[in-house]
Amino acid sequence: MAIVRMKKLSLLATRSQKDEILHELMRLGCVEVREQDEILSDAGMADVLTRESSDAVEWRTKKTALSEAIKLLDRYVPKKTPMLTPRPELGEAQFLDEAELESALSAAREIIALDERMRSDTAEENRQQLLIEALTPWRGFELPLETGGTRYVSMLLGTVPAAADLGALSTALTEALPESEVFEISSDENLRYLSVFCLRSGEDAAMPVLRDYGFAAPAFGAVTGSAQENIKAAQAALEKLAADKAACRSQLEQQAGNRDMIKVCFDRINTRVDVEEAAERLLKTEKAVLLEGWVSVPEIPAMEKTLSGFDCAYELTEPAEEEYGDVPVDLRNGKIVRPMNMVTDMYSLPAYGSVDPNPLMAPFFIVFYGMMMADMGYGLIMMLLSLIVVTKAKPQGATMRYMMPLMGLCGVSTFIWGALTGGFFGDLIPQLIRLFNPESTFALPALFSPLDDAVAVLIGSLILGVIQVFTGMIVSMYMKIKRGETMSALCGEGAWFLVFIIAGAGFAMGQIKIALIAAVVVLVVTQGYGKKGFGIITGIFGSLYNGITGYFSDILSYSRLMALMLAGAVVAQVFNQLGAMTGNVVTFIIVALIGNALNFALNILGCYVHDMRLQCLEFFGRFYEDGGKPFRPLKIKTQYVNVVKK
Amino acid sequence: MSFLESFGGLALALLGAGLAVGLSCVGSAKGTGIAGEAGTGLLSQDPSKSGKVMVLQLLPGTQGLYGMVVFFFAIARMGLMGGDFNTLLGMTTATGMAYFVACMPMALGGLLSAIAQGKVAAGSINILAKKPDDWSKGLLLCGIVEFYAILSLLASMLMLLQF
Repeated sequence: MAIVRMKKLSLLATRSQKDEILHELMRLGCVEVREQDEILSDAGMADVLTRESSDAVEWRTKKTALSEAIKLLDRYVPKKTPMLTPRPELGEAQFLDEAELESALSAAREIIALDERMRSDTAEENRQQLLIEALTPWRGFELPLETGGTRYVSMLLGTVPAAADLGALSTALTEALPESEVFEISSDENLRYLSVFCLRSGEDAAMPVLRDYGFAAPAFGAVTGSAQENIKAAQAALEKLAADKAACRSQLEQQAGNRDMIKVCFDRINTRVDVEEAAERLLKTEKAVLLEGWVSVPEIPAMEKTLSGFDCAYELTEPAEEEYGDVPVDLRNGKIVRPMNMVTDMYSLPAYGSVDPNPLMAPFFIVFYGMMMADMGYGLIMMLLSLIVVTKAKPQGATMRYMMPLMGLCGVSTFIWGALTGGFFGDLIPQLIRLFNPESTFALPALFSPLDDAVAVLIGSLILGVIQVFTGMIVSMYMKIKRGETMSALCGEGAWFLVFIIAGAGFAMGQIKIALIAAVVVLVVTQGYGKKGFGIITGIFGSLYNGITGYFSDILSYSRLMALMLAGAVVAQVFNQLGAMTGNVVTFIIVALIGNALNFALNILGCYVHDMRLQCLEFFGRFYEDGGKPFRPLKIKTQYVNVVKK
Repeated sequence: MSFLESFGGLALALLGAGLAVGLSCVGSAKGTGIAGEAGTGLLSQDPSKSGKVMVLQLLPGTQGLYGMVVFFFAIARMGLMGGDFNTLLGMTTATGMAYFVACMPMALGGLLSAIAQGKVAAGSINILAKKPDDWSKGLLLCGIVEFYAILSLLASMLMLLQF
């Protein structure tokens, strides 16, 4: 159980079988197809080989259409799926059958078209509504709005601000041009709506007066017919648009029946896009294609069996040490260790050729988590939650698949630590009993309590820290020795081990001074290893300072185990006590429940973050070589269905 | 000394307990405020991330809770809960001052670490916006600040446990 071995695969196949081979490899899911730029940079090769072309662009467009359609359906016709519904399952053969694709695509196109129609309807609705608003004040004016007057008489329509003095306007206008008349059609809090009639030849004289009073053109623009007629027409148009939108909506509702099919086809097209993208990485001649990639060693027999059915030739080579940087990394572990991938994925994968940290980390991670949370009640909830989600919803996503089992494992550990410290939702049970019988001194049996034995728990956490740091050092030594750097291992971690033993023995025997001198001598002798000249002295002082502060602060960092245990327990107790202060069983339970839920939520996150920090900084820092690239084989990846092998 | 004695022991002890919760809550309010403000920016673009934004916003909120724990612990140790108030009034200035001092690590640590954590949380919301897959790394960054609040809590609690 460790980092899966990889071999380099070079495969030559006839071009006509290219698609079939890629499909078969995808079903196996064990080959990562890689880019082959370095071959193309060789001039001789570049004459013969060119990049394979593909339909990836076309398939990506189709994929976008389907995802758009799914989004639109979810918006217009939302479907409530109950929580914890597992994805529907589909047999592999059925999944790879592409017969439904065309109908899914046409359904998707129709959905998108319906959405566009509805949007243009809405835009038109807004336009009509604005027109109605602009025309409503002119309702009382019966002449067609475009009239403009007669041969000799000019008709001007317009507005003045509501505050304008109409009498003054009328007087001023008559003074400027006696042959004129102003009528008010309507008014509201902002404007007065006016029609002005004047002699056409006098219009030039009338306009400056009107402008002085703020006379402006009406808001409706170019309209023919009377206001009343136009409003009626706009209302009719609105009704039509509403009916059209309703029709679109009912058609969308009908399309909702296709939702599941579209979702399956989205996954189908997605795998198709993956195949096409892999094809783009192939090199071709007229009749043959060349595939280069990585294959995981355990699956090689299955791959060889599949490839034997094709006209192809292939070669498997062990990667050379200097190629390790390019080799993708896949971690495979048993059920208990696998969820640790959640931590490693988040941090960074180990480099190919180094150690898989997950089995080493798993016991520490789980024990530490339980220690920090340490409550039987919380542990039970975590176990139940994990069990229900894993069995009911069968989570597939990268995070959920690891997170839920991890929570269950940590729940077990939390329960055990809770039993040791006597915590069940803090001190819920003793408080509850005390509500009925104030004299009761009942308490859950406990081996120790974070409150009364705080110092002992603190020392215990530091000891756990020492154990984990030592484990890290041993792993680092193992890796160095395996690479033949025995001296470096002995002078590095080996010397520090010796220092710790000397220090421990010195403390035990009371000879602190002698131990201190011995430790310094050991370090002075060893820490100059591998350095030259003046570098020896800086090396010695550098590693003395870094080593001592580093080990100290790393080990002290484990005090958080005790601190979080204490904080969690005390917060729960505080809430329980707040509840008990009400003196009533019902309010006690309500307050205690809310408080414990809050504490649980904060702790489940807090413990995870702090546990992860201990692993990533204190533990990994001792030995971890990160920088591995994740193994991304060509395989069936789905979002909406689970594909089961049959 | 006579200046402090004019307050009496109980007042000093309660001042310490009050500052532990009060300052920690001020810090948490500021911290969650800074993170929340950053969160609104992201949520106005992508409301579907509200759960993760809320988690990040909540992180600087723990200091207030820790302060509450210290406060509660202090007044429980004094015997304020269900105790006789008149005997409490007779607490010596020295005892009261001791309570005050024991509460100070949480008061200061809570106040300042929550604000610092709030800023990191706001930055982590940027991570969530730009690299949603890596948002948990921001969580880890916040956790590193949180540790100092925990140490403050630990220091206050270890002192209070001796009373």
